Amino acid sequence: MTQPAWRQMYNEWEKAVAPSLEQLTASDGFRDVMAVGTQISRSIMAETEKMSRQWLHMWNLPAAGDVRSLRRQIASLDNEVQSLRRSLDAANAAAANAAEEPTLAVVEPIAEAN
Amino acid sequence: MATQTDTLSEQFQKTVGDMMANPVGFFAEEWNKGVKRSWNLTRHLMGIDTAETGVTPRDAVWSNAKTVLYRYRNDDVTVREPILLVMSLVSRSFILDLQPGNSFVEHLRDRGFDVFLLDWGVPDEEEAGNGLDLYTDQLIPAAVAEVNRMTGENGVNVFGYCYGGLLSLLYAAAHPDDPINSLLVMATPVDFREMPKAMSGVGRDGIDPRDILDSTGNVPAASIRAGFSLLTPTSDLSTVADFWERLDDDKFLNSYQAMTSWTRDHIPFPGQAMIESTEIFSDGNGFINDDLVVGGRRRHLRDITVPFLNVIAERDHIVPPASTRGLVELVGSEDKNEIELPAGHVGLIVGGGGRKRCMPAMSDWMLSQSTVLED
Repeated sequence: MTQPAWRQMYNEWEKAVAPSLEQLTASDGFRDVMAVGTQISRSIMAETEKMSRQWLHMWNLPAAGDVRSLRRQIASLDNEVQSLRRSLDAANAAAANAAEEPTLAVVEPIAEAN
Repeated sequence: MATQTDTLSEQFQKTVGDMMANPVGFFAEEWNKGVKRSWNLTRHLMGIDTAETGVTPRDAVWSNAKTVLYRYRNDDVTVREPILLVMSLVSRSFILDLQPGNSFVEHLRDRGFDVFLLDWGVPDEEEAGNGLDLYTDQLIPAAVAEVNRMTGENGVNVFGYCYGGLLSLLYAAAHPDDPINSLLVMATPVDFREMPKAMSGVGRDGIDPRDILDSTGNVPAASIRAGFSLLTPTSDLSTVADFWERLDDDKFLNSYQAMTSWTRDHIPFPGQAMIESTEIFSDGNGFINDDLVVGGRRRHLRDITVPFLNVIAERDHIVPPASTRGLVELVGSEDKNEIELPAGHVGLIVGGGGRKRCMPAMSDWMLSQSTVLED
């Protein structure tokens, strides 16, 4: 089945344009621009957040950042508890295995019949 | 330009020819197509009867915070050693179980494996502090132990996809005594000098990873998607063109919806893991330079001694073959192999080529490393 004319035209356009665009996005210049852009947007975000936090703290209210920080701490504690639980389970299992292992004992030979 | 004009002229002549030959049939067909296109467009925009994904029946058998271990139901397990699928940290796991008839999980289940999937969930601020060691020294070992316990202590075939492969390598290198029966990694980045430049922009010579973290402390999903888009800047437009061209094809629309629901729905990347990944891999090329210190623990790929397979996608534009080729030389296994399959990054496990060539190649290898149970 042949493709419609508009699609064939698009394909030709794409074939012509895509390599240059890919080259552009892979260039060092593009990376530098992205790095600067990211830094600027990051500092604007940080500054805005700082101002809103100060304002909320002025009214003795928690900011979103405070809640996020608390959630992070809880998650970190939770991971630590889970890790300890797994270590404890492993230690218990090892202890149980050790207890099940047969101990050496003096066994008297069974007298053979006849 | 002459070519485009010729094309248009040929198309126009063909259309007029068809119309003159059978005017009634021509208009009836065009009318039907128009109605079908309008209905499918409405259906798509309104979200009516959209494609379902990840529908193979499964049960959550273990969890830790947002990480969930799923076990796919299978009444006909004929292979003794189960498979644990370890998913990437940047995308949703349903790509491994896209649609009925187009699902890697379904394929493995139908070949008799007991299939488990380790799904990391969608990170938020609670996961922002998750370092690589949490995944490789706590969560994967716990999941492997759980799978092993549930299936009779026979060892586990570990399968890592993309970044999940990277995590599986770090795990296997640090836990050589764990019950791993075999290790298969697919489309896994190893040599970061060979990664596409658009993806390696974060690091010592480019963007500081801390600058791309959002207020939750993670790399936002939108940034991850933008990063992938930069690799092939026209691909989004081509996807729309495909959609418009084949809008009257129900089967195509269904696959299109399933696939785009995955490609457009990335998940945030945990901030701490991003910072560590940048330092160890993007800046330090840790696998190649044998300089892997994760969570204060040095690990070496040569300590991996279980049967090993590295699967490379020939047309992978995200993890190019050059960035993963040669991994087999770095691991210490005696039984090790590397195969290149004719597919792209996702085509290994999705679509006709995946079903016919790639999935069987991988499941054949895992079967060869496992014990097939007698009836």
